[in-house]
This record gives sequence, structure tokens and C-alpha cells, in this order.
Amino acid sequence: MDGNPNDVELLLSSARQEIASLEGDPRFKPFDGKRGEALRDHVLDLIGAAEHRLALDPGTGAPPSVSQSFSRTLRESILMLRAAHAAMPWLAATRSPSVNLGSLYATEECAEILVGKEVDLVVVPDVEFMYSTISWPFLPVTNDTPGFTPRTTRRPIILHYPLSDGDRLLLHPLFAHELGHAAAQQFALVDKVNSALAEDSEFVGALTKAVELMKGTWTVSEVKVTGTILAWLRDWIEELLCDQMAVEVMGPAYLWAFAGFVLPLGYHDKHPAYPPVTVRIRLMLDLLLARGWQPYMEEAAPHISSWLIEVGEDAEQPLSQPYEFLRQQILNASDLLRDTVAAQVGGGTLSPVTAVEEAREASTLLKSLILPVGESYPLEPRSIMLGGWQEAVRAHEDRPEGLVAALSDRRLQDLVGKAMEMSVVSSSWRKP
Amino acid sequence: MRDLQQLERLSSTAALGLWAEDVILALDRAARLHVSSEVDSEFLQGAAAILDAARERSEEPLAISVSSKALAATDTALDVAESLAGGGSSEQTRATLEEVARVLREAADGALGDEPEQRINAALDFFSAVGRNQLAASNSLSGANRGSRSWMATPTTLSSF
Repeated sequence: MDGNPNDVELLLSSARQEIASLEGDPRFKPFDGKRGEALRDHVLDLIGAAEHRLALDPGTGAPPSVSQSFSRTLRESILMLRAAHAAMPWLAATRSPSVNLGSLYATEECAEILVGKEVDLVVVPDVEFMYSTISWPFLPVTNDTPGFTPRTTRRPIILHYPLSDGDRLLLHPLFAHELGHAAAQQFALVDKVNSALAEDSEFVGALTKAVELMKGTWTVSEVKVTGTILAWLRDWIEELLCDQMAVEVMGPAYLWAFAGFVLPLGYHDKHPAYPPVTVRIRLMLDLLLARGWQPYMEEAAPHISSWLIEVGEDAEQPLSQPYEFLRQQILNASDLLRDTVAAQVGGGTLSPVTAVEEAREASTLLKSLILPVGESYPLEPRSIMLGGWQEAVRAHEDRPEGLVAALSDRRLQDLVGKAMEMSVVSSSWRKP
Repeated sequence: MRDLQQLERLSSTAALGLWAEDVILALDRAARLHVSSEVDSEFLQGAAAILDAARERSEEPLAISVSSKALAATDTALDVAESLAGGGSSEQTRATLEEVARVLREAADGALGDEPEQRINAALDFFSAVGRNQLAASNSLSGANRGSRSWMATPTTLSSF
């Protein structure tokens, strides 16, 4: 039977070995600088939580069900300690970042706007062809250990990008969406939207109808049907909040990067965790319009803009249930999503009032293959990115094919990355 | 499924399992010592509150849970209570949740006294079932069975495109 003395002896030894293995990994040695330090502390917290539980052995006099419980505690702890080895390549990456330095600086600026100063950003290439993120990877375990207080307060954020995209700078506005997930978690943004929806009688009425409809199809309890639909809605809301945050901080550059990377993956598809791409683009366009970006977009990429508007119009196409419920509620709640994000981003929004002129200057310099740092003062890195897109669309044609071709233009993207890096360095020198 | 999402789900799944085991160990300490430490007492009260939330969801299926953590914990509690009630009526499910929550509160208050073992064992069985389910789920997320999931096992937090 599990939980007997031999079983517990094996498990305690195994857990201690996993701890020693983590602590002994050369990539786990302490850092000289700040980058990666919070991630390392977070792993130390996981080890601390495991050690705390190891000490709770109920002893030989405990009832069998309690001894078995202790053995399951140890097995869960061992699983987590083994999973923590995933952090070792991330820690190694912080010592030798492989992502473009200019892009890294711009991403750090976005992280500060969206999440705050207390962030440890770790940007790592991944064999998966996907951008993804996780922050506080072991938080559910470290924070919910009774009697144990974690020491990490600075949020570690791990951003993964496709191996091929280290120098495809024009796609890096997508990092802002990934940072949005950390912001959504940090500030409980989905909960805020949910609270508002719970007070909306039209939403509650529509939910009641959707649940009634799906009860017949799914043949599970009403509680489970409701729970499932609401969990899917939560995921859709989070994705859309992240899109909106990315648009707020990166402007149209995010929309163009999104179209280049995500539109090849889907269109008006049903997925429990992701809204259709049409709906996402529709909400992004609405926000860009509200922020006054339309004239610039029509100047920089008129054909691409009108094409994306058509894509957004397809968000009106009905879906089968329960996706139709989700689609309708999301479109109804677009103002709520926008207001939630606006309150979060505050003054960090990239405004066309200042960014358009800077983007035009960057674009003009790029056209002459001049590093677009700025002729009279350092341009804002996010404006340089926008100008990079503007010039890329001009050079590779204002059409869907040009959007894709732009991503292969290494020379332009090298200049954009170097200019963003120089801009940050130059601005730092100028600060008193 | 991408690795980062897998790790996120593993952490949440393992944490819920560890929570159930922590309840068992705290309840055992309370039963044997007839008193709960401040940490155990607060923790057991919190666990009882989650069971209350699960019972309330059963009473009002259309109630909107604000947090995903509450949604996951109450989902699991409801599943186990339904299973222990032999797939019986909602009333039986709610009665199971109410009784287990009552035992936890008595333990938190150091008021278990010389309780019949049957009541405590029923509570231990409840959390053992949660713990076993979660350990199996953790293994399927971390090991060779990665990617297998039922239609209900939709991740509540995804973090990529």
C-alpha cells in the first residue's frame, strides 16, 4: 500500500535528490545582475515549499488514509520539482540573450507600462513555432502552501518566440500581447470584466439561454455547462484584453504583425480558448479608430487597411453554439474591454499625435538605408518600429503578399533593431 | 499544446492536489491533538469556504464565478461530491459538501472533541478522492500521457496566440 514506511522512505529520498539536482545545476548559480534573479528566486521558493511539506510527515501512528495522503503530497512535490528543470534553459538564456537587443529594450519598456517596474523579463527562443508566455510558473504551488511564505516579489515573465524569429523584428510587437497575459494576471483584469458582466441583465439572460440550449447537447449538469461556457468566455476575454493592450502600446504595428503571423493560422474558426481571428481584428480596428490611427493607417497602408476592415466585418458571421453566445457577448462588451484596458495602460498608450511624425521620419531614413535613430533627437523605439512597418509596406507593396515579404527583409529589420537599441542608449545618456 | 501552457496547467493541477492533501494533514492534526494551530485553523476555514462556494454553485448553477481559481476548485469539489453521493441527486451532493465543510469548521475551531470517527473519515475520504484525481491529472500532464484530455478539461488560462 502506498504511504507505508518503505514508500515514504523512497519518496523522501527522491524529493531530496530532485532538490539537490536543481540546486547543483550550473545554470542555477546566483546572478551578478538583476536579469533572471527573480526567476531563480521563484525556483528557490518552489524548493522551499517542497521542503516545508517534506517536514510534515504525520509519522507511523497516523491512520492509513493520512499516510497515503502524505505520500501523494510527496509525489505531487516531486512532479513539480522535476518540472522546475524547465527553468534551467531560461536561466541560461538570461546570461546570454539571443533576441535582438533593440527589441529586448522595447519589450522591457512595454513590460514596464503594462505590468510595472517589478518585472524580471526572460526572452527565450523555442523550437515550437509560436509566441507564448508564462509568469510565476510555480505560483499556484508556492503561494498556496500553508505556513510557507515565498520570498519572490518581483514577477518573473518568460516569453517564448519561434527560433526563426529572433531577427524578424517586425513580428516583435507580438511580445506586447504576451506581456498582456502577465498584466491580466497581475491586475485581475478578466475578473474585473466578469464582475461587470455579472451585473449586466442582458448578459445574464443570454447566458441562461445558452446554457439551456447546450444542456440538451452536452447532456451534463447545468452547473457543468455553465462552468464550461464561462471558462471559455474567460479565455476569450483574456486574449482580447491582451490584443487591446498590445494595440494601446504598439499602435498599428501590432495589428500588422498580428495579421502577418496569426491570419495564416485561422480566420473565423471556433475554438474554446481563442476568439476567431476576425473578431480579434475587428476589436483591434475599433480601438485603433477610437485612438485616431485611421488617417495614418490609410496613408501608410491603404490597401492592407481596407482588406483588414473586410476581415473585421466577417466577425459578424454567426457561429454554432455555444460559440455564437461567446461571439455576441464579446462584440456587445467591446466598450467594456476597451475601457478596462485604457484604465490599465493609462499614459503608456502610443499616441498618433507624437508617434506618427516620428514614424514618418524613421520610414524616410530607412528608405535611404540610414539608421533611423532620429536626426535631431532619439526617436521613441516604438515609433521606430512603426516606421519600420511603414517603410516595409512601401518597399514590398501595400498588399497581403507585401506584408509577408516584409518579414523576410533582414536588412530593414536589422536597421530597425539597431536603431531601437541606439535610441535607448542615446536617451539614457541624455538623461540627467 | 505548447510547453508553457502545459507547465501552467501542471502547476494549477498539482496545487489543487496539494491543497486537498494539506487539508487531510491539517484535519488529522486537529483530530489527534483536539486543537488547531493558527495556520491550520485559517487554512481549514478557507477550505470550508471553498466547499460552501461549490454548494452555492450547485444551488445556483447560473451564478458567475469571478475567479478562475474558484471555478476550478469548486468544479473539482462538485465532481467529487457527486461521485461520493453515488451520482445521486443534487440534494445529496449538497448535503455531502455541507457536512464536510461542517467538519472542517469544527476542526478549525478545535471543536472536534471526541467525534465519531465516521464523520472525520468521511471528510478524509472526500479529500483523498480529490487528491487521487489531481495526482492522476498531474501525471497525465507531466508524463507520457501528455495531451490527453477530456472535453471538460479546457485550460482556464492560455498564454499564447
